[in-house]
Amino acid sequence: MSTETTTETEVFLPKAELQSLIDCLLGDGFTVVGPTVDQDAIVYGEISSVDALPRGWTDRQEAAKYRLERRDDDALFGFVVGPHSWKKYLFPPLTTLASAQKTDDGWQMRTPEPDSTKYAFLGVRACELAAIGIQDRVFTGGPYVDPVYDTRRKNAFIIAVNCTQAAPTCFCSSMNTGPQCSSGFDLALTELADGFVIEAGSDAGSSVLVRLATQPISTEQTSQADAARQQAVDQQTKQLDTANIRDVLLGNLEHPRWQEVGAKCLGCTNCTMVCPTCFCSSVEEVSDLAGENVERQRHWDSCFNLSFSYMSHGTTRNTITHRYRQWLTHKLASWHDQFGTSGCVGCGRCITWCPVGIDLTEEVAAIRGNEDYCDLTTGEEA
Amino acid sequence: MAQPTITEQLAKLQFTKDLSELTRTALAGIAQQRTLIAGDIVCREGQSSRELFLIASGHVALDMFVPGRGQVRILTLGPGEVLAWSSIVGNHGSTATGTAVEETHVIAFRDEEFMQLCQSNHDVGYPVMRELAKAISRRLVSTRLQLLDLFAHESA
Amino acid sequence: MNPVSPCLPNADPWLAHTVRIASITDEIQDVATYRLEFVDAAIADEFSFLPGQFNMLYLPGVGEAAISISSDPQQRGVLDHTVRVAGNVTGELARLNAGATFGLRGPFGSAWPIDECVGGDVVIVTGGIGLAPLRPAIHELLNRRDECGQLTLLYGAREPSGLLYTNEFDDWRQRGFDVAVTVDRGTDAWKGNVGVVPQLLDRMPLENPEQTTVLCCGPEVMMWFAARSALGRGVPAERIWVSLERNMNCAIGLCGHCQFGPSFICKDGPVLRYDQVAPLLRVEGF
Ligand SMILES: Cc1cc2nc3c(=O)[nH]c(=O)nc-3n(C[C@H](O)[C@H](O)[C@H](O)COP(=O)(O)OP(=O)(O)OC[C@H]3O[C@@H](n4cnc5c(N)ncnc54)[C@H](O)[C@@H]3O)c2cc1C
Ligand code: SF4
Ligand code: SF4
Repeated sequence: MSTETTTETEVFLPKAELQSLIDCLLGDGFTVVGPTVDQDAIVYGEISSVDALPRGWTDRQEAAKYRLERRDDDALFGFVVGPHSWKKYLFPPLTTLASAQKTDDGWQMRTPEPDSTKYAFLGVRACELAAIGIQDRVFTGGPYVDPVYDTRRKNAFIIAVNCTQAAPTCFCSSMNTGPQCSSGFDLALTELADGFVIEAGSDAGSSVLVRLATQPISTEQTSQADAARQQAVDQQTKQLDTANIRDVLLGNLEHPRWQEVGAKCLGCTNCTMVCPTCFCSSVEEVSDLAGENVERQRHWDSCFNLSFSYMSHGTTRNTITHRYRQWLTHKLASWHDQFGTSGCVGCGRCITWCPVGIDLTEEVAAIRGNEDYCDLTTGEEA
Repeated sequence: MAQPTITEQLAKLQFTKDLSELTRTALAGIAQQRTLIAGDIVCREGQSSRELFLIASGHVALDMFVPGRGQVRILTLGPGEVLAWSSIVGNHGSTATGTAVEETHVIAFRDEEFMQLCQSNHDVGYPVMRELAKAISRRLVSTRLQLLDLFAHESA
Repeated sequence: MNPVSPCLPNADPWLAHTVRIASITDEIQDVATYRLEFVDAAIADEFSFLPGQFNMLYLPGVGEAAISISSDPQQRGVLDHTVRVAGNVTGELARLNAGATFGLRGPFGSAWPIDECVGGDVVIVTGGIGLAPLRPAIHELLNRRDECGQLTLLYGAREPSGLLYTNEFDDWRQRGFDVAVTVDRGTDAWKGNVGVVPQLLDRMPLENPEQTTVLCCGPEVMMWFAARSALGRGVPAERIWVSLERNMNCAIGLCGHCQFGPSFICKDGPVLRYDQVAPLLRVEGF
């Protein structure tokens, strides 16, 4: 959907009317995806009713810990982010990219018809908007556009939700991605006790908004929303110092800290699976028994897998130390060279879901402990 | 075309080109030009050569004798490279046999004269020994690269 | 500076084009050159490439492998790939005969900077299969022989039997390329040079180092020492180019496999300027 801002005007949507937003989108042919509780976590799944939302639940997160708790209110969005991110819809974990059929005239190659599913994402946080923006650059901003991502992305309708609380793992303020949703959405909500402050961020958003039973907003509601959003700012404790971070990391590739974190890391790939910007994948051949109908399937992969850097004459990154260093330097340093942005939005998922509680902000701080670094362009000590 | 003088050649060859003109002139004073034809032996493994050679043009192959395998060619040397430095660095005799593989022009320095020049005049001796050290270091790097067997994975 | 390839006229970069093996030339043990032709004539007309670029050869059911184009870019309609058997895809390719079809995506990647080469001297430093991606550059430089100064090829292999394209050297020499060859290990029959390739560069007279462009392709250690040698001889770092290799999966910068610090080898490389990659080249596991 288009993302240019057409109106800054906020209106009020009573809580009872949220279902009509979902209905409206379903009526427009969207598959609505939103947060829902499944297996003791808040995940994203297809929904058709507000009853599927995690009403009255919140998440408690810290390094290597995630648990759901009851809130003392009925908030629908009173939590931060869980193990899922929207990338599973825009960049599906498993996709067929192409197929080949053996005929009498030799192999015939095909690519699938573009997927016509239109997703509406309900409950996209500021850091997640930023993550989608980053993946836009990865998949559509270079010389080659990924058709799967591109189609799904163009069809997507985004309803953002402003965070009104932060987890100890959140550091979006450091990464300049949140907690306030400022662009990249069709509609944005701020949850109050009895409803939502809602604004449109695009023409598509406005055209949905006019069909909802909204009410003019009171100054009190405005200040309640401001206060709620400010709470997410105030609760944030985690920080990542991004000053000069590219040069600090790439100039410290032999820092002893890499060995230390490499000894701790299990190479389990969790951090890359939960990260909303990680985009690594591999393509595999899936063929019928006769070997005459073959599909090329892309699945999520991870730079933590040994096979990821395999070459027939030797594997490039054959220790976990190398692989952790690759992940972190890519995410926070070379991403800037490649895509003009950090690859981290500060959502904290990798901290929460790391089974051994490795926290990238601590790794950066430790490496910063040694501020002497080698200037990569000149090879000299900076 | 007139044969270039030793001084002219020293000014171009890798081993001597970075030396001062004065040093090169001093070296030229004790140098002799020699032409080898293919098959000529410059130095023989195990024997003292009494001369240090700088190749001006052409190539000299170094072979080592391995019982059961015969002469094994370990290296080919070309213009600007030195050989038969054994007696200069104090070894007893050459470590390989050097054979010209084609018509080869060498500049030869008798060991005693060479050492005498270097010892009596350190302004000549130090830079010359430095060039010798550099040449040995280049040879060492090449040997290491050979040792690494970088194309092993390409061999069937 | 370094052009991204003109992609095939094809909106979907995942769509392979069917190619047929027109002929196979056995080069050396386990290496053969496959001349390919597009089944779709329209694609054949459109297809062009720059020296140093590669294609993804796709054997359905087996997978894809990145293989450089090894023919003359000016010879329209001729599309050669010189492939060494290294594993699944290349092994299966070696079992195919002329007439067999498979898929091809490309051309991908950056090219040897021929425009920067002309006007000065060029030294090509390569070893083993690394000569394959440089053969188009040799052709291109010979096509523009009049615009170039001294042209030199320094080429090595482990043994004499590992040297590629030896029957073409005389033709290259006649057309103006100095070709010097060396092997790491001689054989009784080998009358040529024994020693490593960087040594050939060490001893080569470089008349105009500041005007010399060095193009390297081979094992990273070899390229590193070749570059050191060139730098030591006064060739500017910006005139030294290397072709790098990393695991290649998609070739279009979307899969993440081939990263080398800031660069994606598939779209920023494989040909990269030495000064831009040098600090990372000797970092273990990067
Ligand atoms: C830019 C580029 C150009 C190349 N040009 C040539 C060439 O002209 N001729 C030639 O013989 N070889 C070339 N190679 C190397 C060639 O890609 C590998 O030998 C080939 O991928 C091995 O595939 P396989 O399936 O036979 O081996 P396997 O060991 O079965 O490999 C499985 C997969 O791993 C990946 N892989 C394995 N080795 C490499 C490798 N060295 N580089 C990148 N990915 C690898 C591939 O995706 C491959 O399909 C090139 C590599 C690159 C990156
Ligand atoms: S690196 Fe960690 S904190 Fe940063 S975006 Fe990825 S999961 Fe979130
Ligand atoms: S950092 Fe943690 S989550 Fe990531 S691979 Fe290592 S152990 Fe797994």
